[in-house]
Amino acid sequence: MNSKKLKLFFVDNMIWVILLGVFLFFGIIKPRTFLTFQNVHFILYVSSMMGFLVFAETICLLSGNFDLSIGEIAGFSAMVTAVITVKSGLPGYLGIILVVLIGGLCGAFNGLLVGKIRLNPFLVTLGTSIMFDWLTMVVRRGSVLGLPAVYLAPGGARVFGVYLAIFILLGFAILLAFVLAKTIWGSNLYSVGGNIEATRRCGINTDKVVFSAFVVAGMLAGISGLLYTGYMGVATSNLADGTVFMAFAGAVIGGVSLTGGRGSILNALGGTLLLGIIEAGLTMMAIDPAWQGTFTGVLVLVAILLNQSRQILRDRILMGEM
Amino acid sequence: MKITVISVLLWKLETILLLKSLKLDEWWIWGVDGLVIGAVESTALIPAVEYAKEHNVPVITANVDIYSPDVLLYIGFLGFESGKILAEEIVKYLRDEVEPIGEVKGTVLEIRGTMGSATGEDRHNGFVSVLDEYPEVRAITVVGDWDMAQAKTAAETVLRAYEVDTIYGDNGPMAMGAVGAIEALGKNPQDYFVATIDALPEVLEAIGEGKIDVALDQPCPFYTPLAVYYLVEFLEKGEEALPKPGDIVTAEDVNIEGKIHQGVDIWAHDEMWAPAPVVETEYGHPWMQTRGILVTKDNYTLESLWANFELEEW
Repeated sequence: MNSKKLKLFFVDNMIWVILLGVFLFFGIIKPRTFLTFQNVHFILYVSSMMGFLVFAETICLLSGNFDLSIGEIAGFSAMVTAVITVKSGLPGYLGIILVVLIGGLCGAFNGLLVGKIRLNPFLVTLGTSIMFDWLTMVVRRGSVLGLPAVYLAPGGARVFGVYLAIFILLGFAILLAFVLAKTIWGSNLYSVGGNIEATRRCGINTDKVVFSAFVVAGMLAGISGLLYTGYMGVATSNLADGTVFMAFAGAVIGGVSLTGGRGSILNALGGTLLLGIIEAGLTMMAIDPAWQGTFTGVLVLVAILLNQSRQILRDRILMGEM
Repeated sequence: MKITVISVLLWKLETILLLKSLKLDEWWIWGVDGLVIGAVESTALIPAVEYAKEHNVPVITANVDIYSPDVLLYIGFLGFESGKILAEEIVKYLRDEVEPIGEVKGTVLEIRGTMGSATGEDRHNGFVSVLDEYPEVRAITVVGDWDMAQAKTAAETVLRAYEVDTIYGDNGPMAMGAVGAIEALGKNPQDYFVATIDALPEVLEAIGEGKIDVALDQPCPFYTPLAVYYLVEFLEKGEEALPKPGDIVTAEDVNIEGKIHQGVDIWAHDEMWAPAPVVETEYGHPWMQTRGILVTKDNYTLESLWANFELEEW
């Protein structure tokens, strides 16, 4: 790898540098509690639920769309599955399949309206987010207890002392990164997000690509609902409510373009973890929660600004100015 | 009088904004005779209450008050008082159970509800009003936004960094989140004094298992029936029928022939809300202060606790 390539690699993956910097910053303030394996383990674990929502949003953003309903899909699919599983005595492993399927179906509904009927994704997913939110209340108001251990395992069990959710999160990050980089579907997704008209003229069925992006996003949201349920040990009717903006933040901090076609899943994972580190660090400082929220906003802004400066740095490196 | 009740959920912010923007016009078209409002925030609906007054539509608030003199009557338990009562329980524990015995010293983790919400602010302010008198008590506050998952993450983060003696949750799901956090750390919830407002079914179960020490339960099932009762009384008999500041309302004063709803006759459990003293609020209307009950391992199986009702939806 020559010097230019090395610089480009560094710039393209700047989120990890920012993440390391923020981690060390909190580590200096709270060295005994922050700089420990247990703390890293904890941050990875509590980031896993949000991580899947960030992945879901990233897939939609890459296709040039966005999805406001992913948090509500997570809540709705988790609640429907929990009720069916408990009432019918469905085995836990079938529940796991079901929650992903329901998430996918919800995503397919969005995909149909956006991809096939070509309605505006903002308006469609605004409508479906309200619809799924209230449908959850139709299904059940309150918590569902007594879910099978197998169903709760992905979000709550440990393997050799490490939470299973962490393996699932990292495994999916690698899988999605591979799919996006090495498959036709992945390249079509980037292409549609970059220039949908040019992609259509190349003979690619763009409607189908957009539809499939929403389906995948819905399935990933379903997995998030599964992990949330395992994390709490129960399914609640307000599960994952209000998480959509942090999902956007995670993706954008990770360098995913809001206009589509640019970004990477692994960097979106970096964005998710950065949010987790900021939250854990500020909470451990035990400052007033209102200030904590304010600082979170400031740190998110700084991270976005630093990350957005990548493009300028990239251009300079390519033009030989750096 | 034949009563038709139209239920509209007000706990979503967008609904409140919608109501404000519509100025409730559509409701008058429907011929609404009176309003019972259980608001999220105590000031957002003041213009709506003023508008109702202009159109001679009486308003009774339940659970959460609206700070307007145009409200006829507020029925509810005091969030401020709930926080205060549980803070006193925590002080008692720190004095009697935590070294040095006899001194009120230690670390308290408070998991707050949504900042800025009337209920959240009231409960928090009541809680700190007691703790502020004890400078040796360190209170660490995190926001759980009424949500179990968020509370669990916040509690675990704090428990990793600090030696905490007691935990106070502004509501049941957040206290359950704290219990989950303790267990996730491989610790025993029985080693902590956990106090919470609202005795949900899962909270009662946790009390039975010794994971939560005390819960303050409100008589939630009674708020809106009592409000509807007094609204009808007002419409039929006028202002004289409403309780006045200085009165103490007993179960005998309220003539409700309630039906069995979802298998439960709540009116067989009047002791949950009565007797209720009536005071004047600083906003210029009377407030009927319903009772609350402290639930511990000694009484968590009481059949009159609403969480012990066998309802399909819980």
